[in-house]
Order: sequence, then structure tokens, then C-alpha cells
Amino acid sequence: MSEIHESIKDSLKPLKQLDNERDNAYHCFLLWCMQEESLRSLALISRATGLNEATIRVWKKKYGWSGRSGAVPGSEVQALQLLRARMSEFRDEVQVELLKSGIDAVLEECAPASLRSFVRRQQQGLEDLSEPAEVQAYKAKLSTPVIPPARPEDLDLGKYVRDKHLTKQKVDMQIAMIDGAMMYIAEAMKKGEVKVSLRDLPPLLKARALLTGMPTDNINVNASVEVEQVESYRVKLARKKGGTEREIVNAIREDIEDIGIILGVIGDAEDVMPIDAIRTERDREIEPEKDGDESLELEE
Amino acid sequence: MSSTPNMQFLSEIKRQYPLIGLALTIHRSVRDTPITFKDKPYLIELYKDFPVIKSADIIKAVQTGISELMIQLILERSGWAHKICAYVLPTYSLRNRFVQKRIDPLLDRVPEYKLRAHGSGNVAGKRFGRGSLLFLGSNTPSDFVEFSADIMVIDEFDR
Repeated sequence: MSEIHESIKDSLKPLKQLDNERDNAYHCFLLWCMQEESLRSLALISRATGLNEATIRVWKKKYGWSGRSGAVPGSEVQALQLLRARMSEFRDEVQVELLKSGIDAVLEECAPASLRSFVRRQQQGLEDLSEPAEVQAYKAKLSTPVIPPARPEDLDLGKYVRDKHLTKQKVDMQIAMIDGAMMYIAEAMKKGEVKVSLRDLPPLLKARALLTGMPTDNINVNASVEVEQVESYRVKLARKKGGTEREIVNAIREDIEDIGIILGVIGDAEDVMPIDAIRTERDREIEPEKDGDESLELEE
Repeated sequence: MSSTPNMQFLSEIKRQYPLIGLALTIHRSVRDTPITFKDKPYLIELYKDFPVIKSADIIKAVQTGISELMIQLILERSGWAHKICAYVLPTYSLRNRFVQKRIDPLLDRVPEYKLRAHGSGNVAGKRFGRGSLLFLGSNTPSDFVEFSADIMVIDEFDR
């Protein structure tokens, strides 16, 4: 088994950082490897990393990017995993953010279909995670996993459910039940009898599509529950400066104070009369005065 | 990175009120200090409403944080909402100084801005995200020819 791991490591050698290769140059190389061969763009790397395009071009020649990338089949996936692994090595938040944005930019603009599919599968927890630890070293986890990877017992449970409940007869019955549930939701929404929302529909549509073999790509069940986790600049700054735990906690405390003030003001603002209503109110107050003035003028 | 309760609050605030989210999570002052509302709670409503209201006129004292708000407004509207934003200052030289001292350092230093800034651009116009930033001097009529903008900020109107 160890021979296999050694051969895997050897096959990935061309993608490893050369001794005389600077970190920035290496990151650019990995971003370059991640791109679809016919769409590879140094301008994109330059834009994503903020480095000069001419410098990157020099690095490309100097460090033989084409040869190194061509020597590793599926280099795009390996490059992505190496980049992710490197992100964990850096303490500098700015550097990490730049790497993240570089990866995002490549994935968004010119990643090959195989790489995008790999990322999607990893996000869904479908990528095979049963390889040994040595190989896993090249398989860094996503920085923000959407769904945790399936556990072995869950996979067994899946098989059990498939064998027991996904027989032809039961599938037909389940489809009928889903249709019934959707009709029930539609009726309930129409009459206002039951509190349901449109968010209840995508899981049913997805379940129905899965059972009937229809495409499910355009049904996003998780969209309503995904929450982006963000950190304030204050906390980022405390971390960046290598602050102690106490300094970071203080930064979080200041955040909470700020959030408290913001929520207080926003809450109060909801009670304030909308600006249009204020105008109407004010016009109403002014109008009788105008009438009064006019009548006085007439009397005069 | 583990999730803390304030991160969840920040996420929700960012989703509901993008400008407040930008101020708390991305933006920083020219001196690299985080934006805080503790000493300027009156700004919160402006941060909340500016991305959605049609227009506003402000008469203010100096050092009230309004210019910083306007900078964030054009960056957020351009970089995240894909709008064309024009920022008008009274003179050509004031415009140049404003861009060089207050805008360029941010685009150069803040990673989220740097990613959206396509190169340094020039003083008068920059592509930012999928939108654009235009900086105009109101004493140069030629600046106002052949351009359109979704959002217009006129600063130092009384100068």
C-alpha cells in the first residue's frame, strides 16, 4: 500500500513548490494549473492576486509551468487541493483572503467542467472520502462546507432505505404522496388556513424529481438555509496583529456593543413614521393655515 | 474558523443592510481603523437607508462621518450592486486629492476592494466590480459630457 502512496506522491511532484520558487510565484502557478487549458489567462491571475501580469509571465517561463502542469494528469484538481492546503499554513489574513479570492475567480471564470463538478460534489459531500490518510493530505476540506460529508453509517442507512423503500410500487406511492402534499400546500396557501410558505416547495419538488429521474440541478433546497459566516474587520485586525486571546475577545466584545447599538437604532427606526406619511401629515397641518390666511386676506 | 454568535448577527445584518455589513466587515478608515458606530449612532439610519432611498440632502458639521459613508456607498453600490456611481467635488484639484488620499489607498489595501478594482484605473474613472466609479470636478464642464450614472453624490456643495 505504501508503494502506491509513494507513487502518488511522485506523480504529484511536478506540482510541488521548487526550492527557488517564491510563494507568490507558486500560488500563481497553482491558480494557472486550475484553469481550463484553452482558457488559461495570466490577466485573470494578475487581477485576482494584484500581482503584475508581466512578472507572472516571467515566472511562467522561469519555472516551466507548462511542463510541470502537463506532467500531472488532472492537475487542476490537485492544484486546487494544494492551494487549499497552503491556505491553512498562512496566518496572514490578507494572504488567505487573496488566495480565496484567486480560487473563487478561477472557479467562476475559467475552471474546467471536471473541476467545477469536483467542487460541487465536495460541497454536497459526495466526493469519495474513503482514501487513506496519506492521499487525504492532498484533499483539503472546503473552507465553508455547505453540507457535512456523509458518515459511513449514513451511507449504510441510505442503502437500507433504498432497498426497503425504493421499490417500484413504493416509489409510485411516494410520488402520489408528494403530489398530494404539494396540492395540500397550494390549497392551504390559497385559503390561508395553514401557515405555509413557498420555501416548503423546493424539498418536495426535489424529492419528486429524484424519484422520477428528472433533473434536480435547478432545484436549490439549501438556498434558504445557507448562512454566510462573516467576521468583522475589528476581529480580523486583532487576529492579523497576532493578538492574544484576550485582545480577540475584546474585539468581539466591541463588535457586540456595536451590534447592540445598531439593533437598538434599527428597532427604534421601525417605530418612526415613514417619510411619506410625515409629509402628508405636515401638508395636512399646513393646509388649514393656508385656508385661514386666505380667508383673512379676503376679509381685508 | 468556528462560528460565533456575533458572526451570525453580522451575517444577518449584512444580508438585510448591505452598507452596515460593509462598514463592519470590510471597510476601514484611511488610518486602518475599523468603523464604529459607538460615537456616531446617528449614522446608523443613514447607512441603513442610503442604499434604498431615492435622494437626500444633508447639511452637516465637519468630521461627522458622512464622507466616509458616501465613500462606502459608492463602493458598495458599484462593487456589489453593479451600479455606475459618480462622485462630484467642487474642483478638479480637490477631486484629485480626494481620490489619491481616500479612494486609492482603500482599493490598494483592502483585499475585498482590491479584488474588485480592475487595476488602479485613473483618477477620473475606475471600473469596480461590475460597476464603475466616476470622480468629477464640478468646475470642469467637460467631465459632465458623455456619461451616465445610477448614483450621484455631490460633496462639498457649498464650496
